[in-house]
Amino acid sequence: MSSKRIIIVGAGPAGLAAAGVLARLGASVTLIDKDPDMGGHLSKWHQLFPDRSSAQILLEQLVSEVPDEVSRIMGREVIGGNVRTNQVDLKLDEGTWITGDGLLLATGFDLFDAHRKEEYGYGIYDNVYTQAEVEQMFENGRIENRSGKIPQSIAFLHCVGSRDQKVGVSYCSKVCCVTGVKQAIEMREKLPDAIIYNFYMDLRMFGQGFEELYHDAQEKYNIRFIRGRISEAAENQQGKVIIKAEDTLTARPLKLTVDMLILLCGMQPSKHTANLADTFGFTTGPDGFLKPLGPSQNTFRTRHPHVMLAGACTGPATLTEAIQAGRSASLALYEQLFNIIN
Amino acid sequence: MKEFGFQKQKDRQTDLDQIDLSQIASVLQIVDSWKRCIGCGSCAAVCTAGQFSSFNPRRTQMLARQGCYSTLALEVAKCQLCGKCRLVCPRDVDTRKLMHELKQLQISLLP
Ligand SMILES: Cc1cc2nc3c(=O)[nH]c(=O)nc-3n(C[C@H](O)[C@H](O)[C@H](O)COP(=O)(O)OP(=O)(O)OC[C@H]3O[C@@H](n4cnc5c(N)ncnc54)[C@H](O)[C@@H]3O)c2cc1C
Ligand code: SF4
Ligand code: SF4
Ligand code: SF4
Repeated sequence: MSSKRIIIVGAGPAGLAAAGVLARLGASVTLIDKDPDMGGHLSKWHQLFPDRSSAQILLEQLVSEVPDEVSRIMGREVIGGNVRTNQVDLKLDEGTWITGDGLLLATGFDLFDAHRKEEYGYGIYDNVYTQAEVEQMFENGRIENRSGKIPQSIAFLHCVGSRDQKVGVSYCSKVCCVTGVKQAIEMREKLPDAIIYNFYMDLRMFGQGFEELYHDAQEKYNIRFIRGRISEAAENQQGKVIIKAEDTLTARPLKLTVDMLILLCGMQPSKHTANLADTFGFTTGPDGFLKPLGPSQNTFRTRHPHVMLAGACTGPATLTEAIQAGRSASLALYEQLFNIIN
Repeated sequence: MKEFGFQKQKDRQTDLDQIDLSQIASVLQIVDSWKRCIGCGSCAAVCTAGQFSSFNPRRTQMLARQGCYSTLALEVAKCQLCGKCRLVCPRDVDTRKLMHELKQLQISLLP
């Protein structure tokens, strides 16, 4: 049975969940990731929404489900390949090829590069950050700005690199609203006297417990929500960030000076997505992410029966969704390769 | 009818059953991108005229779309057509062109 080799590209939450299931079923699995360590984006987060559970514990659980028999090729990027009937060949970045009978792509997403929204001054002004950097601050247990000061005023900006035709992205990245509200609450716990704002266009709190988190942010944590998109930021001589927006609900232009501006960056297709789609003959959706066969059913199938997709490589996803997708796709792939159905 | 010597106050309610939106429909045809506005306020945040007056391009165009014409002419007259709003709109609405078209409308809409 284990004569058939399944390759999983991406050792993030989706790929790890899939590797665990396939290994338990007795398949021979090879896991490839461009990073030296497993975990994908999960390894960069501190506490998870909505329940503030530990990202590290979840990661350890997912990794512990992957037995030692699974062979790991870490620090290697898949840059191309081709799909034949009953076989898949993948090209790695150092020029070698690897061959398998089935393939699961779990290549996830890249965080939007905040430099591209120059008007917010990321990389230009000292005190503009991304939410990913803030996760690291929480992880290190220290909230301070670049000059080592504890911030007294903080503004989160939603929809950076999402829902913005000026950077060619029209989709919503789905998890940044709840992440922004979660991080605002974490900031409040660490900085009881700070003034904390969230600037949003719409708050998309779709999941179980998300809207409740928003209630808490308003009622218990005194987060100030302002409905308006920040149009530009500038820096003053003290290194503070001056932001401009419209407070749409009072219909007045607004100016505000904060110690820290935090950009809630969206998700974009990971670097090689277009290239991989091209070489494998997959289509991509209007958002540029890999497009599975069906939107409601077959959400992990491709036109090749022995190639599946799982997780955020098919579009913005929560961990719950990425892990579920990894498990579902691996079962479908197993059934396909071992002729359990047909 | 007996005259009571006072006027009945006009309701502030936007009465979508009564409003004639045909002129707005024609502007929507010319400035197709207007349909995409999500009211985020970026245009109002940067608006040149809005920094010094009560003019607000987001609100003004929203009022226009709902057929609230009474102050529209006065409002759009304040726009300087500088185009700054257009640079920041996340939905790529051609706000400057829109203001221009709404200015054209004003004569026929003056109460
Ligand atoms: C700031 C932020 C906070 C978040 N917090 C939460 C949260 O609290 N709760 C929650 O449910 N979700 C959260 N999410 C969403 C969560 O991170 C994703 O759902 C999850 O990471 C998706 O898992 P994935 O395995 O599909 O992709 P990824 O985590 O992106 O993993 C993909 C893996 O594939 C590898 N890879 C990509 N391309 C290649 C290639 N060509 N060759 C080899 N390897 C490759 C990458 O190195 C990576 O390890 C958050 C997202 C953001 C942006
Ligand atoms: S989840 Fe919220 S912040 Fe993220 S793109 Fe969607 S609306 Fe914007
Ligand atoms: S910036 Fe664009 S989307 Fe936002 S309110 Fe103005 S016209 Fe509408
Ligand atoms: S074009 Fe008119 S509405 Fe737009 S920023 Fe200039 S003055 Fe304001």
